[in-house]
Amino acid sequence: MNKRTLMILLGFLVSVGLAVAEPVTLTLAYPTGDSKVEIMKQIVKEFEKQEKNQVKVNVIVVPVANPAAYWGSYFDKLQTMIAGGDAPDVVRVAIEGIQTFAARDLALPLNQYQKDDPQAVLNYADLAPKLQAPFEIGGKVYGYVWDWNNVVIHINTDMLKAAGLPFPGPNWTLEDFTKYAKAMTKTVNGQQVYGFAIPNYYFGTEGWLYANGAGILSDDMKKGALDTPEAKKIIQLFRDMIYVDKTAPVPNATTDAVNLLMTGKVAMIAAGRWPFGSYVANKFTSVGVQYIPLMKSPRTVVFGSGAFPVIKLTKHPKEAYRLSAFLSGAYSQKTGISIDSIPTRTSVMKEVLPTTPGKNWEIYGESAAFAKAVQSPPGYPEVASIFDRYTSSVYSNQLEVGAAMKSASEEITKVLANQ
Amino acid sequence: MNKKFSDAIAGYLFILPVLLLFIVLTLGPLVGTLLLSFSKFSLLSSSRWVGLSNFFNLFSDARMGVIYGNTLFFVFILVPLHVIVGLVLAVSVEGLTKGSAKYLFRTTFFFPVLATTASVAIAWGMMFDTSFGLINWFIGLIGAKAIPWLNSPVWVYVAVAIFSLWKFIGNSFIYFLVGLQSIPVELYEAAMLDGASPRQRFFRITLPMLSPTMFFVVVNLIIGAAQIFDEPYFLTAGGPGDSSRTVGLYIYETAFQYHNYSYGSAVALSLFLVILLVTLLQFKLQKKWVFYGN
Repeated sequence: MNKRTLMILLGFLVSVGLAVAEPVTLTLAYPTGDSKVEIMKQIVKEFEKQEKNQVKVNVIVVPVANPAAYWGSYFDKLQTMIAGGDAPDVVRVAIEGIQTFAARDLALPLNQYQKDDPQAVLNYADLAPKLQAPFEIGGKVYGYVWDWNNVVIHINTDMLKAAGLPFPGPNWTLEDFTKYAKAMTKTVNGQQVYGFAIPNYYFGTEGWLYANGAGILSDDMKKGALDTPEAKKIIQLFRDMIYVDKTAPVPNATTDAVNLLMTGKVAMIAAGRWPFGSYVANKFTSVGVQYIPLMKSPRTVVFGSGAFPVIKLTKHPKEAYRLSAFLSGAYSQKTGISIDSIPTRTSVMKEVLPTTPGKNWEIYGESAAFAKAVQSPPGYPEVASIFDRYTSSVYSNQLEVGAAMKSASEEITKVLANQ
Repeated sequence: MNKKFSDAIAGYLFILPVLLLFIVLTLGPLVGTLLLSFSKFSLLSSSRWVGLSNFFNLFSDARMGVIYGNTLFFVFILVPLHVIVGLVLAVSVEGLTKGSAKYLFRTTFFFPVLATTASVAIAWGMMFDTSFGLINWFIGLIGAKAIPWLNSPVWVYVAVAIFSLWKFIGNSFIYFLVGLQSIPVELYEAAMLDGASPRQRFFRITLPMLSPTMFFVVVNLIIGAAQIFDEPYFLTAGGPGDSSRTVGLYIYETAFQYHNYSYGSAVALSLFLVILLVTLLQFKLQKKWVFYGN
């Protein structure tokens, strides 16, 4: 072997050595505006440590300008990134998007990777099965659920006390609820305060519809179902609370129900655990939570959840799978989910939920057993927009409930048929 | 190379940066919109040519009439409002003798233009709230009934107009102010010597001399009002129902929320053609009322 050949061989071996030592770099897309971006960076550092720094993770903060269509705008950006050949490896996706991702064949099924490396998921059974279910479509696992939220009634306990009412029990009825709303509607220091702020958003309304055995869509999500008697009953109830009982203010696009509850302008709102972030920030502790009144047994509670699916185009599927699994792990949930959503691991729920600064927080954990996923078909943004358009007309007293819900259902059915 | 030719080259080189920007930022997207409107486009799958299908959909879209009607109504409300209030403010500020007061009012009236629409819209949304809003609180003090600012298909126009006026009046105000400052003082001095009253000076000198500025402001206002987006987007989300949904907002929703880029492009193209026709008409008519001083 001459000197020149030896040099070439040495050069080749050094190059190969360097290539071997080069860590894999993954990208994790996360929407901006989510308060957890900084915490997420801390969590991925822990993942890098676990991978002995052989895997690097770049957290890409995807700017979302439109809070009203938060997930829609985010998915749009993600799709643009994918179409532009700049696909992230792992993405933060809420339940509203996973159907679209799966339908468009964008997400990587993780079954085989889980089979080959089951340790990465760390106690799969600890993930509440009902919450994990939306991320398993047609027998394919598209991610491991990280956080979730539901819809319950938040009650301002100071206003409850002032009205001389006891904290309601879990089986309170619709009659009890309207009685409470009437009792807490009054004029205080010349200012009108109301019993309840109606939830004029898709997720919040669906919580009420589920409680009455209805839904915005049919069970197979192929048709609109707002024109069923059970669904119309709820929308009529909300409309009557505004215009007949006058126990609820007229909602509009900029209504901030959480703020109204904290400032004592409304006594009850319908929300998940997310307002607790604002409650803590504002040192608001006069609050308790209870289920939506029991209308149909067995009780059903709506839920929305989020996970970290792997994009099919990833060049590093094994590492991306491990990152996806790590992000649903106990460390990630304990670090990233403190006050504004609910962990999905039963073990972590037991640790985190007792820190909720509100009466009857236990229902957040309990409801995982009878929770039903929010209906989020492909084409969800358009369906949600139709829902908003017609319910806003009803709550503004422009349309009668029956006619509005019939038109809404027809339009929704048409949109779903085109997906 | 003769001088004429080298001058021409130099001229083209001077306009080259702007020309490139125009091609990249205006002409390119316009051609892209045109192509999209004739296709069925998807970000993630192959697109196909669909001819005039998107335009047929546009004419059969049951909501299009209401949405174009809303937009037209906003044009009819907002353009005169911005012209009249902007002009009154500009004339009042120009009439001030104290420099510091002039500076103060100029800054005050223009300041909202610089504020982020999203943040101030939240505050205005709270003020317009039917049940808890500051405006209705004041109205309640005089014993009047609360106004459903954002919950009525009629009042929502008024709410959007008030917000638009507060937020964007600084633009027409500043144009008129600059226009007023460019009118030669000698004209007023000569008119005063001839005994012209303030009213005569305004209608015989100020308005004719301001007509080029007025033309510019009106053209821009009509284009801006026809494209109105920020105000309904942040304040009403197009509601209640479709009451305040404008063509601009509908284009955004169709293209960027429902991912129907092709249909969104067809609607955008229809708006472009309407604006183009109206603007050409304005240029044609301006010969009858705009005074360029020659």
